[in-house]
Amino acid sequence: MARNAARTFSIKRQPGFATIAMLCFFILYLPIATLVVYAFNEGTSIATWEGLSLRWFASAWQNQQVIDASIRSLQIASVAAVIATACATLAALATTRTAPYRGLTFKYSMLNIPLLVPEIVTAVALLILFSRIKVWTGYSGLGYLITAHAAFCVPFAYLPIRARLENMDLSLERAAADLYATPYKTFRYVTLPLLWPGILAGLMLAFVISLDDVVITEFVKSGGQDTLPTYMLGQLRRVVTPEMNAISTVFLMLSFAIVTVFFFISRTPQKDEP
Amino acid sequence: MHGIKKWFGNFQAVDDVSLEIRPNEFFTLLGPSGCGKTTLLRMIAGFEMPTEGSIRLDGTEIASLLPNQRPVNTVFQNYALFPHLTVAENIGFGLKMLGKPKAEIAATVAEMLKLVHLDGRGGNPVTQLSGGQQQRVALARALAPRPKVLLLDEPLSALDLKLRKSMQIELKRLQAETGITFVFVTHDQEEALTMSDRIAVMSQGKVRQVGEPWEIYDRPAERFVADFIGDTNFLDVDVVAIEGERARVRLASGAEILATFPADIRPEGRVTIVIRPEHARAVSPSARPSPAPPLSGAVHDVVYLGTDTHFHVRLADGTNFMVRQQNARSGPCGFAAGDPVGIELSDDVAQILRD
Repeated sequence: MARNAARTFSIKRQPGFATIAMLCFFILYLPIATLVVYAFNEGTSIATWEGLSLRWFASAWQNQQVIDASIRSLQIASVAAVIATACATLAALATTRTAPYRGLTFKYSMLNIPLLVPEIVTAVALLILFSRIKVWTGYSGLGYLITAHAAFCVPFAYLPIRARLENMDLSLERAAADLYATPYKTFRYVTLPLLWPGILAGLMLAFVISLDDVVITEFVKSGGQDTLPTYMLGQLRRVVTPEMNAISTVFLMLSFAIVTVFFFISRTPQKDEP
Repeated sequence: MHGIKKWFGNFQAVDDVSLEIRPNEFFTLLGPSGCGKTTLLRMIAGFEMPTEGSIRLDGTEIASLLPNQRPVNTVFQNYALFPHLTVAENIGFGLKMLGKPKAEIAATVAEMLKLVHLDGRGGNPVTQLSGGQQQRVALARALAPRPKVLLLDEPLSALDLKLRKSMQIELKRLQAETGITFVFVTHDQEEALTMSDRIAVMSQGKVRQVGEPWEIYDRPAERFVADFIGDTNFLDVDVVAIEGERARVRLASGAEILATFPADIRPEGRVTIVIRPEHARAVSPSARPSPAPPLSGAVHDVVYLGTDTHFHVRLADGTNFMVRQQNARSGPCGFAAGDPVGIELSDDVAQILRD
């Protein structure tokens, strides 16, 4: 008994832990695995296996609509991610590098609340706002989608940047000031180089979030402005072929690659400690 | 600096401090944590603004200048080296910010690397250095722009004892070689006594005493100073007469001795004197010394420390008195618990406290 008590508690040793963990992984990844497997199906069904083939990848590659939607997705995601990250960097600096003042917590909450607001609410709100603007200005380009994406990506980009700033040793900036660096030079030569991994992580997170978005895009887009996810949604309503699986698989790999890079960037240890 | 006061909300961190730090001096601010010494240092550096008072450097008012506008550099407690820069880039940072030409920066960095014995390590990332090496980079970085004043915020506290001892000597050498005024903050009284030209002892936001190390140690003005630095015996005595710069005081035993006192008071009535344990000697009463020792009592504890022995003596009136005796000879140390002893005092060792 004494020996058991001396051991530290570990969830790993609880009965059934391994089984439940395996079950969770299974439920999480089985659908994705199925999707990927059927992307390589020879036949036209997404449920009956008829042999290995890359024909659906080739077919997607030759589908002009898919290509257009992909390019549009990438355009929107890259521009929106850059705008969102720039805003998020400024916001993060303003919420960590100022003396605490009244309303700071309020601002911090305001920045994060978009993460909790149901996306459909934002989508409807943007639809109404943009339709007004469309009437006034007559403009109906990609600007609306880019603006909308940039807006909802800000809180996502903000999180890793703020985390990085909070972990950064404040005495480094003090040391720079002590060594005759003006506030601008302190930012340029000390804060920014140390913040860079956080900014990159924010950029990638914003990019992936924008690339993935369906709800807001569906509401805001004008005719002929399908992004890859909304195009796929549209296709699913008609006839479902493994071409969808193939597109999804490529999409999945892209997201996976970005998330992996994101993980390694944000894992880079802070070398602040002496 | 004059009349410095600093409030953080309702808490007064620094209370009416006036100090004059002389050029080329190794000046130490000594005190327990929370005594305001670091706040004072940060006000000299410019990271805090005094609520009241002025700080002048060579006659120029600097209290309202930004840190980057003051010819003052700091060695931070955690070094605060820039982790994304090399050793040389760290050391050259201040000069680069001052807009010095590249050749001059390179020359100064090389000179600094030599000064802190890090020749050839300029290209290393600072994160790969040991604690002692990082400490030396931090020193070199702060010295490179040749500030008028170098501030050191407990820079040795993170080092182990041996390294700390060698860095103490190193710091003294650097100060002598560069001729820069050092203002050093520490809570370690031994460090302060070893290194300083002058010490300011602080507690609760006030400067309690300023003086050379021997003055702080042998002539403490207040109970706090006497207690904070080293071991001390406190005795309550009566002032009998003032004889020039000394006061004749009567001990509880009836014996009279001469005691020094702070220049700003005129002691009278009942006062407290301090006597350092090493300024007293335990003698055997059977030897019948002449004149008779001024204090006597019984040993109740003997602590053997190798180099010294501490005898804890209970005096006739019940006060405890500690005697530190150097073990000049090998072998057991003379007295055992319970032995009666007389205590002889060296000349001029008693000091009257202000409070």
